[in-house]
Amino acid sequence: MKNTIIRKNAYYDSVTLMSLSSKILDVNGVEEAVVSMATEMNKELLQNVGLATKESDDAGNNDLIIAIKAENENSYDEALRLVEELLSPKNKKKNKGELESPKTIDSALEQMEDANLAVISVPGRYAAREAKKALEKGLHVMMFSDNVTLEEERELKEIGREKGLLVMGPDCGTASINNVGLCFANEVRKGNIGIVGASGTGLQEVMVQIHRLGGGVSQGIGTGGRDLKEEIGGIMMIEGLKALSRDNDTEVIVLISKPPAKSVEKKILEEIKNVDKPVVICFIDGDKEDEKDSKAVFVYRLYEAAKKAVELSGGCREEIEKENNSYIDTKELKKLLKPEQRYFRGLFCGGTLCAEALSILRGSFESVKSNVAKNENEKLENINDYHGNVLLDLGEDEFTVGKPHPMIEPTLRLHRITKEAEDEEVGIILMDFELGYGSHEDPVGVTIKSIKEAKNIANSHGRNLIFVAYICGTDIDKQNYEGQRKMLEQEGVLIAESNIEATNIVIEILS
Amino acid sequence: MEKDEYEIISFSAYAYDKHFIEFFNENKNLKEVGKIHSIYSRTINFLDNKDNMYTIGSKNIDNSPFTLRIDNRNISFEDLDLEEGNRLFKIDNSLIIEDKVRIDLESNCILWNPNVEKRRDLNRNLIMENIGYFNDFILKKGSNGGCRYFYLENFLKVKAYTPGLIEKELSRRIEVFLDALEDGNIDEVKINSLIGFGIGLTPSGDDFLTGFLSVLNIISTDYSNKIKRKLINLIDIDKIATTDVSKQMLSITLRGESREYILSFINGFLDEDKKQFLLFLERLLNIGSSSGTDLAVGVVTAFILLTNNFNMEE
Repeated sequence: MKNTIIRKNAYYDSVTLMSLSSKILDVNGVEEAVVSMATEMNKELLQNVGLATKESDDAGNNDLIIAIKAENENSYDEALRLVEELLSPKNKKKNKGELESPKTIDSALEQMEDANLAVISVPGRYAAREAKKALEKGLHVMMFSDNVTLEEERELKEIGREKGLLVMGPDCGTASINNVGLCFANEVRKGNIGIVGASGTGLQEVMVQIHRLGGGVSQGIGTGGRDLKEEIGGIMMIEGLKALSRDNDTEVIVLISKPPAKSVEKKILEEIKNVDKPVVICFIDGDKEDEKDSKAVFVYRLYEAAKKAVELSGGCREEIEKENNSYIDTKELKKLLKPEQRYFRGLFCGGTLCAEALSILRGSFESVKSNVAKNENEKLENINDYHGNVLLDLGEDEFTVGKPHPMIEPTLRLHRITKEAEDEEVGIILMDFELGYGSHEDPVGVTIKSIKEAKNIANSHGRNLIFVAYICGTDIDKQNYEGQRKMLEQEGVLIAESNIEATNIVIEILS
Repeated sequence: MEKDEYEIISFSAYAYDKHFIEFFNENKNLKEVGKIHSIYSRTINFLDNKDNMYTIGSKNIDNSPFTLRIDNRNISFEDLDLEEGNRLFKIDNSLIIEDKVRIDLESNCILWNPNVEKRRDLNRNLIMENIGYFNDFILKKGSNGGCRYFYLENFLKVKAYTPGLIEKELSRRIEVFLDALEDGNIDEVKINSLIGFGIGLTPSGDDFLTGFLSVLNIISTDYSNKIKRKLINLIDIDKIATTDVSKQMLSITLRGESREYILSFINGFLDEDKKQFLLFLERLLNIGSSSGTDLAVGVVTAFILLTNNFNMEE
């Protein structure tokens, strides 16, 4: 059946229309869908592909057409439901007396007088001003916005320090304050481990692993990725550390970051001397020399940070002993690949997970290139044209301009999966899936079709293709961890229990 | 933004262009001067009593013909309780929309009056070099859904993603249009197949043509003038079928005018400052959702056509 929905004088931006179009096409049984303005030329296209109806023919230039062709009524109804769900809320007029969404920090405070934290997510150039307003009102601040200058960041953090308020960010994607997840965050057990992290998915991975090991989290404070640069001086990592050292619910503290500037590291280590709680430091790619003369425990992998923290928190050793009981016969898997299938491709949604994978893999392969690499010889020159071992962080700006982040809308990764399958030198595709607040409601579900397609492409050329995946999520995340896992298992995807394990599987098979 | 005692939200005008001055002058003695046509987040459009369309926008849009920018970056017009058909009044030195919004026309407003200098001497190597920078950029950035697929597929021979139905068809139509221009057999049908085609309020085909024609408005060589004449003669603005907002955009372009970000990008193409060029490109790409990319592809395609036909100037 086919039908068209006409919205008179309605306009939605093209990203919304594209996203709607792709979501409708993903509905089982939907054969074709076109969402566009009802201009003559667009109507002509509908006629050419057999989607035109009397309603669409009668629509005017300024009307929106949603044309759907489906195998049966159920599929059509499901597509229709999606259209209503995705387009209706935006233009919904408030009823008289219904509370309007606040447009300013002042009006938000009028509605919620006891609020003590503001999440700022506005274009970068306005973000600093809004954050400043929030600080002046005595609110802690989490800045999801990026494109804030270093000078502005420094000024905001200095104001925060002076007022005893946290300034998490800019470009802070993850926090969990009093077990309330902000932006992207997993649902985890409440406990006695407090974390300060300068990386989004790094913080998520440590929280998830703590939960899986039987521990719990008191606070997860994000600082934004630039906090430990010389220009900012680690102000929020130090303030976060102090806050956790005062927090009665926190007994063990974990700090996560890429290696800080030396002068900043010195300040942090100095501050740790004043903390009478155990501190675990995880500086991915950090220098072992730094361990000297510090009472902190140094680890270099996210999983290790979680494990050490759970050990120090005094609980749940039984859970720790259960770890890594899964066994994957990599020797057998190796036999599935042809000799020329000697490369892996990592398609990541989480930036820190991608960086950690690079840090692990570089020691086992002659060359690994990535768009998150800092070393010149590891930098990927062209994200669309490469060969060899490659790790891509698909959440980087170069992929996301004009599109949602792949943790929100994973379809960005789908065509990459099938593209990699066409490369006869690729043996393994490594992927991450993030669950939790803020993430897509069914990240595996939207990806599974592409995994099947990729395997078919490889099979049609007489090859096998191995998929290795890690799901960064907990059993209490809203997306149903087990359901997500089952879908991958049914497609023969190897599932690791941590990012480090996923990466090690790749090494065992290919190195 | 202030609320006065009658709950009218007041703004100050920040900048406008010569068409707005003409509009003010023509409407000196009239109280009701127009009606709201459409309302978006960062702009509202209104029609004057002769059905000419004007735009009122926030400060963070670029200058454009027939556009007034108010001195407020954060305003969302959609939140101002305005409705299509609301009347505009000019009272003293203010534009008033019903009893809801007042815009004061301060004497210190900026008059945006770009000096569109015709460029006759083209440096082919410089243009080629800038096309190279654009190619690197568009590989990594730019929005899908419109002309990006055409550019990647045809000029860069890259299949970066699986295109939608409209992108594929748009790509074919642009190819037909360019082939016809090269072969000298361009006609009304081939141009009109682009107009109104594509998603978005300004369909991608319109954005492409706007970018393309804007280059021909600035570059003045024998070849560019020849194809510009042909195209202008073939487009009948009164007959084209596209959205009202897009029709206004094309109509402005056919008059030889362009918005600020298109002009600066085209001029950036002809100057040697690479940093400026990339800044102008980035600003252009940020227009709308996919419009900026479609406009930029139109501009660059025109430059490619001109450089391919460079010998015709000799």
